[in-house]
Amino acid sequence: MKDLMKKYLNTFSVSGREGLLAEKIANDLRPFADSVDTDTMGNLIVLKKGKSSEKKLMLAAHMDEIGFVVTYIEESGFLRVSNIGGINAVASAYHKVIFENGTVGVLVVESGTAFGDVAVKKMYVDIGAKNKKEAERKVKIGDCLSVAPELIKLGSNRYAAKAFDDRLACALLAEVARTCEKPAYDTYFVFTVQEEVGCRGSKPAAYAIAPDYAIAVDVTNTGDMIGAQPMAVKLGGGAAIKIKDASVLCSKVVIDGLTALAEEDKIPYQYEVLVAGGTDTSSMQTAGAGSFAGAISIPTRYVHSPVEVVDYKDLEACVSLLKAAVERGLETK
Amino acid sequence: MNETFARIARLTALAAISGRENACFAQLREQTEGLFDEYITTPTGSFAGIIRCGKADAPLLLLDAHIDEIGFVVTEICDGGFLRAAAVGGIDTRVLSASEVTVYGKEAIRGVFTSKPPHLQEAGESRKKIELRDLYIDTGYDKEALSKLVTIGDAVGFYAPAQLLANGLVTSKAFDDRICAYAILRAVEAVDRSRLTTDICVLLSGGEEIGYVGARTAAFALCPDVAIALDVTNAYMPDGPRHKKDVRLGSGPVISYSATTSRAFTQTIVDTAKAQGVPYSVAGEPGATGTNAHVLQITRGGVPTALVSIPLRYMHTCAEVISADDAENTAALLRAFMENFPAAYAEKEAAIC
Repeated sequence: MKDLMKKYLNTFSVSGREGLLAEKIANDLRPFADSVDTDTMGNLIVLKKGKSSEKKLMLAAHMDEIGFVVTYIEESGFLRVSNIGGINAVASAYHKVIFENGTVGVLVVESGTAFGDVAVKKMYVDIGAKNKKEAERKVKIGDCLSVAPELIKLGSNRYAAKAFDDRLACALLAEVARTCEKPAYDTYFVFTVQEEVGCRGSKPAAYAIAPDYAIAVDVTNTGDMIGAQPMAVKLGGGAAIKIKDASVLCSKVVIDGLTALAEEDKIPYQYEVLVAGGTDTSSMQTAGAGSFAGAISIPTRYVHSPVEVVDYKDLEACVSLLKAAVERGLETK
Repeated sequence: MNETFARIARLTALAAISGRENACFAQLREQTEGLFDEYITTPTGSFAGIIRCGKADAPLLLLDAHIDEIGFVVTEICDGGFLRAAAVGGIDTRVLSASEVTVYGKEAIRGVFTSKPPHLQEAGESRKKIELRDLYIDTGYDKEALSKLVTIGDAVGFYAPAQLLANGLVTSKAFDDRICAYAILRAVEAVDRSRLTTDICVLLSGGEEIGYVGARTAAFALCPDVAIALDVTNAYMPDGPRHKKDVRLGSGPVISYSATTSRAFTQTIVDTAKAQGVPYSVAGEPGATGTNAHVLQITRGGVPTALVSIPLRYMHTCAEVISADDAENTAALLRAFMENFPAAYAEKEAAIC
């Protein structure tokens, strides 16, 4: 799975511009799928037929990440930007950034700005252009950019990078799709768009699929950072089974189903109650006539920063748990 | 009154924290046995019953009250046997300290929210707003015993058995929205079925307090032609806003005119109340009513929707107060409406489902 993780991390995919990543995932999964489709929003929908077609399971991992869009090009050649999704301005400042066409720049803060005043409107991108005309040869208004990818190994099992939210989940779904046995139900591996701007892709995807069961895979905060809000989730504590986040209260059917599978297979797991932040879980729960919806979360420190930190063992636990759910279903005995 | 009180008490005692409504479905089924021709439950916590009028192509009238109540989920089992919890729905943390709760673990466990006595508070502490993270739930168990009974994610609800006050007023938790569920069930029991020209669907919806989750999805599945949402509304209280002056306990159901409900359909309910001599008042609501009416109206291709409310004091506390007379009058209005269903809405809409 590390190959997928690296490949997807290195692919440009800011909310609304997920096409390059969708193409790579589609190519990776075509040999393992009964069908591979892209809908009008850009969601990638990979179907693996199940032993039974009486029920449908929808899995969702979002392809998009937070980023920026160019709003104005100064005479000096500097680029003004606005945020796409929940940007932490302080965390993003003074990082290398990259555009969809490969243009590289640095995201910096107006000189003299006090630390507490750092905000996206005080920031600009320097791509090395001497003036507006030169800048316009590489970039135009409306182009998107993100922090440039770099995978950093920490200790023996941990990694830091931007956009683990939610490329890790993309890698995880792809890994399960290419290694699982025949699923219990018809299983839709959906790689969604525009999650970071209001869980927008998963809504029409869930409406079209009308699943009976739904599982989102996304990252969650942990309570083990200095200054963190009290939270029982720990890095290295195993796959996090979501109880709730700010957008959803997960269905007991899914919580109990995942718990039973984790217990049976001795997969390390923990329960997650996230007080802020939403996921595609909510859209899948409420689309159309609704579904039994829940989520498997990857414990992650410093979410929405360029140095999100995860423990690879948690990732393996998430793969095992998701695979078990796909292969054996969620109905508890 | 004794029978009314007993039934109201039974309904408010149900445990149905938003997202965990199915815990009460067996009891709901038992309390409505024989009342409906069809029973439906949904993945999103709704319980519905349908009465068929027997006429071909009859439109479907949906009567909605949400069955879920605000509460908490356990987030941590702490040393000494204390629990931490996160809010489910709109919790006012001012009213929590020292209030009684039930923890719905492997078994139902009684508990109380902790409260720091004045003797132990630091200077100025009493002026600070209490946050949920400042409070714990004390169950009396030690950590080891508690860990066997409770897991993270278990629901917690207020504990407040119904009590009769003067003048037929009743206090309890979860009258938002069980009192409306009571009114609907009462109306459906009493209705003269030979006078029905529509099929009736009673939707006891889940997840209203967390974003109308149940009504949104159930209405999609049930395809109603018209809908009435029933919910509670804040009644006059000392220091309350002026526009609530006429909404008093005992003044009957409140029929809302809002930008997000159907005025024409609402008018037919007002006309029914007038014709039948049921006491009522009317309210002008802002665009969003904060009720299921908001989502019912925009289900599928759109549903003519009205909002009828029962006055209530001290919403979202364990001491909500309602008038049993208001509940009975609301039931009378609904019954009369079903028996004299307006001809203008009697044609089934062209099916799009």
